[in-house]
Amino acid sequence: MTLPLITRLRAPLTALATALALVPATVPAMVPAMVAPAHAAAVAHPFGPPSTARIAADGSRVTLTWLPAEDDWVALGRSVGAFEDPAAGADTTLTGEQKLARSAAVRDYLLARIGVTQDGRPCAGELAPLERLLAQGARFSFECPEPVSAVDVRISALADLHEAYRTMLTADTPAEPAQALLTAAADTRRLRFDPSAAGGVPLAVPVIALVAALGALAAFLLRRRRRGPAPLPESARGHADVRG
Amino acid sequence: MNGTTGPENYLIALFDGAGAFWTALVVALGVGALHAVAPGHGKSVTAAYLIGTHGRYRDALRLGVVVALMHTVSVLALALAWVGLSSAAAVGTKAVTAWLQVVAGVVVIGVGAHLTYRHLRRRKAHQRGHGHGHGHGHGHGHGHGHGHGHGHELLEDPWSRRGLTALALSGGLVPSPSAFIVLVSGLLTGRSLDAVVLVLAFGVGMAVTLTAVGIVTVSGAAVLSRRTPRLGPLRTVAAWMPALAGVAVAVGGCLYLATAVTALTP
Repeated sequence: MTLPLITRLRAPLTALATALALVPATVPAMVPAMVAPAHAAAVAHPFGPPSTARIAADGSRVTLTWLPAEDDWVALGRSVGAFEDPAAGADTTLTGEQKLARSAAVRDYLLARIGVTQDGRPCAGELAPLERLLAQGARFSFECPEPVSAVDVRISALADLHEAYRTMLTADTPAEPAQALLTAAADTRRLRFDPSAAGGVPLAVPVIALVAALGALAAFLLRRRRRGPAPLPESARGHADVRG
Repeated sequence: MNGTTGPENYLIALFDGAGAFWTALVVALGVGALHAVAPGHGKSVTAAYLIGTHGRYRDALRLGVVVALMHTVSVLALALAWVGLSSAAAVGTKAVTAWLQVVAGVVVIGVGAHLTYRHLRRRKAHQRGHGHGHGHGHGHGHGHGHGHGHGHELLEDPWSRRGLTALALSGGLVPSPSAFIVLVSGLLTGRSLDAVVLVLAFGVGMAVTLTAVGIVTVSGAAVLSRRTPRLGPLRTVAAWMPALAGVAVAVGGCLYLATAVTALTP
């Protein structure tokens, strides 16, 4: 996965993050010159949509897939030094994704910051190979001591970089709650897997608000159209403008 | 979705921390106003358009209201889709946002091109009709916002209004990242109403800024146009202003489009 050079040239600022992730290691030479934009880009990342995670329980096993955005992987990799590995420093054949996948620091980081506990006891976590992390995310499997009914899920990855980073956790097997938000301030959430759990979060308020806002917009635009532009006498209009 | 500021971060932190709602409300208002100062939302584009079409104060107000409403609609729709169709979340708001921006860019380019085309066509017709169309009548006409000669033509031209509406709609089409995060967080933490109110306040803040920019533009143009007849070379500039503004609007649209295409390019 190499990035066409032209993309980097076209928009150095916005493409910087992607470029750093995806372009082989010729890039580090450019990095010092781009410290300021790189910093700006890093700050901008958390304000994208939250990362997503999906969780499912089967017997005493919990599977969890954590899927951040591409530029969030860049931020993560950069924070643990995955792109500056001296052993791979001269290797220009590796893409950013491959560097991330090979980095022990990335695996350690993920295993340390994403976990499941059952009654206070940690479930043994395993992280599948990260080869296709951009498409598949980080895929965990947790083996809990007992058959799973209630577990505490902790996801604090990225949250240490910026408190605006957050993850929307969605349960694929019926659970209460079916969806939850994990943030820097509240990185752990108890999920109760229960076949009778009702799914989803209540969306009535935003739906009503959306309809109301659409209605207001339509009413505003149509009202003007019905009334039509009033052709003022020219002199009156020009002076009215100036005085307001 | 990129670009953000300290205040936006503060708003999110405030909402996360479940601090006093009224504080968050005021901050949302301020952050919305500040957000509209940042690039995007067609400020410069609309300013150019207001100059080019000799917009009025009520156009500036209309601009603010439409942008704010459109932005609220946009944030609500995107957040609802993101949370409600969580399987679709992986599709990514980045692509959705970029495509929205493509639409916005194309609309802006269209409006700019139309403004230029309209002016050139009218100018041609004008010259054919009067032979020496550069006399007092012409300069004065433009100076006072389409006086005498073709003032009524523009006033009654529904395209001026439609163009402004199109610009305002495209200006509010791309949702603000921090408003989106606040809304998604609110939906997922059982504070939907609070979040919706904050997003509304954010929109009002944006409207205040954009209306203010519009008012400054309109009054600036009025001041300039009163002096124009006395300043010879400026008369020519003033005469060409709508065409120049149209080009400026179209160029703004191109920049918008380029940013979106960059975001869409892997």
